[in-house]
Amino acid sequence: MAAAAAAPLTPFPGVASLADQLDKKVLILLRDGRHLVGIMRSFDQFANLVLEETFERRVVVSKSGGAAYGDIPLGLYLVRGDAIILLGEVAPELEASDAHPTAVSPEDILRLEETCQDAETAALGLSDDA
Amino acid sequence: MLFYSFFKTLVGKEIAVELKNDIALEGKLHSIDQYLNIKLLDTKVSDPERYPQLVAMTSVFIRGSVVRYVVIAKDDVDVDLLQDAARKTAAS
Repeated sequence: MAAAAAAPLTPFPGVASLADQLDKKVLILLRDGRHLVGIMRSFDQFANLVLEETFERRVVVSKSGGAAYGDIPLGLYLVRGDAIILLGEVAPELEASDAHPTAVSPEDILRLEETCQDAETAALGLSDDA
Repeated sequence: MLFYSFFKTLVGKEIAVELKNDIALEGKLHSIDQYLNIKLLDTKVSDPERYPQLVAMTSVFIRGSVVRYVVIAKDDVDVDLLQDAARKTAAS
């Protein structure tokens, strides 16, 4: 019984399958550039996915090189396979590492995005007082 | 089917994948399927400044439809064998 529970779901070695990522926290990159984080509950042959506890992960990179990220809660999502670029399993220890952006609250990341936008607009000389 | 079989011979080798959105990844080929979806282990993003949050990922599943190039080491390929197989497939 224990052996059956431990056996992997993939029937053929060397054949790619999303079965290994079931019930795991994954980060998806979408074709429109968005990042979604959630627990993958199911998939099909088109790589359509059901994600539980989905968050949109927004990242703001400052010119000084520092980066921050915030997760906007979205709930239960069905993601269409043709919109997906890649899917990665998230390792919590790598999220906390120095190379990874620092976590901030959803309100903070939205505010940071606005300030970055204003800074860029001012730099391009597109502000009203130019 | 030809390239599916070809990639199966490369399982375990280090490859680089360039995607249609210009992101480049390197890693060890774990598995491939009939749609040429690729699963990479120990993935490194070649341009981490552009997408810093990808540092959190260990194994990556890449949808076959978004791949532009797969870069393979010359020693991992028998080009003549591949060319032969392609000719046979074209003939049938």
